[in-house]
Amino acid sequence: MLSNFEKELIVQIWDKMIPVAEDIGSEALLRMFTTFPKTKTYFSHLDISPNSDHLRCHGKKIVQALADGARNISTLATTLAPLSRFHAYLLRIHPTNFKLLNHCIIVTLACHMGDNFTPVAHAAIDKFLSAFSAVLAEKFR
Amino acid sequence: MVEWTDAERTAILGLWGKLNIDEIGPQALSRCLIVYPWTQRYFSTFGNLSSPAAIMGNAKVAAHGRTVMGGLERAIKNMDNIKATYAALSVMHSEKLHVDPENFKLLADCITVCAAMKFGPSGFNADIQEAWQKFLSVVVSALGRQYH
Repeated sequence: MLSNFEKELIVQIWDKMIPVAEDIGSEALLRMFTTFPKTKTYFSHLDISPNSDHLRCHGKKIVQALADGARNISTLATTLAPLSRFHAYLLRIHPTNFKLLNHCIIVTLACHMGDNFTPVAHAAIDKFLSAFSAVLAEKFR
Repeated sequence: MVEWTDAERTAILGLWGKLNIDEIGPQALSRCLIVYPWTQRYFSTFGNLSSPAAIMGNAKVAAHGRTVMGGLERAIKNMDNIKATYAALSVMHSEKLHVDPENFKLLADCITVCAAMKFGPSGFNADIQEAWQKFLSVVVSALGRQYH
């Protein structure tokens, strides 16, 4: 459940991430691959070494999708429908992995925002990422 | 038996050496109570937890945060035997405190986030994060070990 204050806070935070989408996205992915090596099993077709073009490109896509979701929080299911189908029918990622990436996104934000990543901001982002992942996993079965 | 590489040991001890446990303990516990409000169920005797501001200003929360970090220090000093070091603590969390061990991961994640905020992307890079989280997951596992 997100309050209006939290929804605005989420938009503010993600708007700041758009110009640095490649940096933030690739860092979150690298953290995930390093801390949870099993997540690499989904990326055998890409070069996910630190700072690779694939990593930066993929990281950017993820941050942009999250920023898009942030601006359309009330209509997440509709906004994310294509991505939801993609994750369910093509990617078929084990659903527990969403939490691992969400955690690494949060750690990345914490690193870059420092004290601005207040407990209230943390809670709002955590709730948003959970809602976002739930929509992505919705069509799994 | 947990195997630590030299790099992991260095990363974990290095990070611990730079932490101010009197600062991070209260920060991490209050963050946990705010971000995961159901964890407040274990702190009904702590007084006012009615808002983020109340939680962050609560002296009992702060004191308990420091206690938790003291517990973590024992794990740091006994990295090769965390399971045995924590046996009594695990029994206590199960039999006396009745804490659902799922919640240990949440507090561990909050400690990680506080460290990330303090040290930034290069002080808390991916390799340091991996080692630190491996350490915390061993701690969490040891704390849940004696539940039955």
